[in-house]
Amino acid sequence: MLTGIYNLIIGIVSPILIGWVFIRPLFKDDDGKNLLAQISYSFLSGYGITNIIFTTIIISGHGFNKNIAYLIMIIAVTHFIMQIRKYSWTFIINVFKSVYTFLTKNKIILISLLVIMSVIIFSANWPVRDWDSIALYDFRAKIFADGKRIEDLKQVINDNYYYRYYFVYPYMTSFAHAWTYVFGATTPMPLYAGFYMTIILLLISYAIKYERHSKQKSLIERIIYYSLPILAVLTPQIISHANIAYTNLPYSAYFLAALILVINSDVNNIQENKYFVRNLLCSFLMLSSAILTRFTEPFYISILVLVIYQSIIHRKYIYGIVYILGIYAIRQIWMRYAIFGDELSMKAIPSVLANFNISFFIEVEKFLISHYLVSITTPVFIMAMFALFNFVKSKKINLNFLIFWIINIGVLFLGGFFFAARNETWKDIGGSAERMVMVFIPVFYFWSIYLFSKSRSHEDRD
Amino acid sequence: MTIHKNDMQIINQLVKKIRSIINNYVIFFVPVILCLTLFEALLYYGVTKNILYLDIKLIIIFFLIMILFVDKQRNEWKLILSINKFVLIPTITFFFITLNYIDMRNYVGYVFSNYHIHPQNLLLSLIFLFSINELSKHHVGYMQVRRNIGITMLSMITGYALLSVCVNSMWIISSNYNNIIRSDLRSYDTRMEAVWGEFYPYIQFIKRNTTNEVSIAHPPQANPWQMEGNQLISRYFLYPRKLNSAMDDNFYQAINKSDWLMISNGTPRFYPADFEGYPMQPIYLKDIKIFKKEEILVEPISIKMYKSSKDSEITSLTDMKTISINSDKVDELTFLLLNNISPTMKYIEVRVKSNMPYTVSLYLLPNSGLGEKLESPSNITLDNDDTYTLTFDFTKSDSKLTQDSIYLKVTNAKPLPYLYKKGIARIIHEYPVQTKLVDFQYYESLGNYNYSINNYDEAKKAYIQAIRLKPDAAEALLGLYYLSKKDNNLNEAVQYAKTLSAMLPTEGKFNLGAYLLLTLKKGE
Repeated sequence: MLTGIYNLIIGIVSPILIGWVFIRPLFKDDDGKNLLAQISYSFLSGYGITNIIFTTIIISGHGFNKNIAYLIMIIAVTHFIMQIRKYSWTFIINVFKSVYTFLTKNKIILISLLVIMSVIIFSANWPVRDWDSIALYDFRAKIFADGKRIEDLKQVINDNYYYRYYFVYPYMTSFAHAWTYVFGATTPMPLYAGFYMTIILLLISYAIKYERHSKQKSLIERIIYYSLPILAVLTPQIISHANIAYTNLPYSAYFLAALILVINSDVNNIQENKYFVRNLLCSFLMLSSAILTRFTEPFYISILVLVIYQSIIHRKYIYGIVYILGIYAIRQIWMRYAIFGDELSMKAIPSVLANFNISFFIEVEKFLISHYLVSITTPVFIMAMFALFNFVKSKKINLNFLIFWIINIGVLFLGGFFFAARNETWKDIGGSAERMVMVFIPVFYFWSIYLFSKSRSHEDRD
Repeated sequence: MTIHKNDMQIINQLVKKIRSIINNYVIFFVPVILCLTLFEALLYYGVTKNILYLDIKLIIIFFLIMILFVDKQRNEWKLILSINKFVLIPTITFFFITLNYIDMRNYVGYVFSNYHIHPQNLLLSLIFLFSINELSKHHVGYMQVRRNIGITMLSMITGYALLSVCVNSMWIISSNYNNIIRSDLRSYDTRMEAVWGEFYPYIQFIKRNTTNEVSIAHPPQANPWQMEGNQLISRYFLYPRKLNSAMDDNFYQAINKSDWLMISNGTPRFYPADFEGYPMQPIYLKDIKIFKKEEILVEPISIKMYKSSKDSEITSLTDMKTISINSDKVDELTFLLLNNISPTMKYIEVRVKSNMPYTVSLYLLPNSGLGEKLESPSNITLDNDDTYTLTFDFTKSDSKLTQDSIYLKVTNAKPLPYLYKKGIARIIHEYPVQTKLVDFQYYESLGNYNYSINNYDEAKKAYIQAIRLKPDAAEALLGLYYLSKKDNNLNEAVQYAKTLSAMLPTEGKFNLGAYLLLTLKKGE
């Protein structure tokens, strides 16, 4: 019981404190207004920042240093104590009161509490157990927690094939595991429950925000706003990923946060405009963390295009360019370190295009559609309904929405085709294609909330 | 389109009529739908769809939308609400929590197998009752809905999806809590064993028995060694020990680099597609540590003898006791089953119950004590989980019955992976001089050692010597098979493989000799 609580504190609370150091100055203006979103961003940036620090240390040729981990923790805790002193007890009691009134007002959210509790309790006690997670992520974490580097493994591994395997994925979740081991937690699983909670909090906080902005406060509207985040957290794929130590869920959370922060800038154009740069900075941290969690998936392109579009709208071109160059630099640094640039590289495009065959293309796309849709039929259908509703109400298609999905559908289908054209065993990837689109499940529900809020505010103006 | 005053009146009349219908009759649907949701829990999930061709979730959603229009001031409705609040919700919540707790305490599906109730599906009834109470606090006018028909549709879609995921996720919640609450899954070791099966204690056994700086040879990653052969998984548990994958083509190179060797019959889950014990090649080992020391238990059940294919004569064995051999040292036990078998018998079938059937064989011996001894020539067939039939078939054999007795022989002198299933052994890189009494095993080992250092001539001599002492020395036969295959002497290889296939029993569908014959045929 006590070890479980300690595991939770190390896995979930400590990264929030670290991220708070970074997030607090940025979100100073909207104090208690968006507390849920701030907590989620703190959690995400907590692991994001430690990941960037340790990745830099490892790439620069040093070993994982426990003292740096202790130092980060000391800074975070000191900062938190300094901050908390400013608030009176009444403020903290008020926060709890408002949470209580919110829950009693929206009892629909209580349905998900049973699931959330089960995920948290399970994660506090259960060890890392799955195939890839123990072979790769947790193994690397144990090496790091010993103060060693992955390069040291060369002494015990004769086969280069096995040695290369340890560089296939970036170190993000391994550092997070190592972090929990350094502080004596018995299992790192709570961090996945943390990422799961982050997704819930992000979606709920934006549902609350959009619901507040709406002028018609009808019951049905409220039910829709709050049932969408619950749908996301009750999706079986998401729950099962909260219980296993794979990188899909952290990637999904970072991707969602990066998307929300870019999109969020134009919810209320006049007010949010001054936060554009701040949001872009946070989004940059989130997207770079996403890339350093799962490197090969090219969904980040859609966010980059959205950043270009948004920076044009806000007339802050230079920030957009810096954002894109930063992401490019991070990708290059990791690629130079892990040397696997030949996978899906640009060099193969001419040869694939030269051998283009329309019937093969159709065959591949049919296969991809059938496998992509297996796990995401419901969210796709729901998002499509909301998009239709939005289109009927406003008589135009939301450009953010359009850009995002055109790029991602292009990436999914053309990327799949390029893979199939270069690998004869492409039919074996059905399962991983199903897992890959899991990233989008929370994103579908976010878009549904977003489009719904758009169509409502449009109606209000009439 | 313009609406005339007349049309407006008609619409208003229609709305009034619908309103009165809803107010009067919606109440009766409460018990009906409650019963339907309870059926889902009591019978099976989807029963409503099978009977009414309507999804229960759809019915609930339609009904909940209706509730918004009902006049809540009516006495009937107040009665329904108070019954709901004070009787139905507490009762069903009590059953929901209790039954789910029982399910989680034991295993998911426990309540269903004992009481035929799906406790997870009770959630549907619970959500239905709670929603009635919640939605009764609100009222929506018809005109509001007419204006917001799109939103109403959207809310129905999300509500339907919500009900579906709620019911599905209940199963995940059950298994999550079940894993935590169960008393037999308290420690790290038991939890890992629940996930990884027998592989986890085996790998811990290897870890206990070896020091950090050693290197270990392990089987290739193929069926049935998907676990032991996976270097990446094994390294997680065995780091910093070095691991060498010793496959067919580089077997001895890997062995020469290693200190220890995994002995493994693979993971039973992957049986019996192509069962192979590891190692298959001859190798000299010492300090064999067996993972689970199992006694060989053999219990003869019955003997059947046939004069022809139709006629039968049954002799049951009642006074035979269970025979057991501890696998610590090589041992061989022989038991008399039956005296004086009639020479007219064509088939003899002996049914035995055993945990390791390949340790059992039958043989006949003339009563005079002289002459040919005949060991069971045909294969073993699996009857049940642990019952096997051993058969003599004299119609195909040249041998004839005289006044014979039938014996049951149990031995643990068989190739390593057959007998020990899982274990670990130290590889001998330098062969020690034996001063003990020379027996066939000594020559087998000598042959194995010479084979492993590529000294094939000496190996052959040793193996032949072993066969002279004991014609069915399995390891010597196997070694000779490999040697003649190496010299491209296929005829001889076929002979050795045939002898092996006749001699070794069949494990599941697998017989080592038959397998070797097959590989020879494929090679040709």
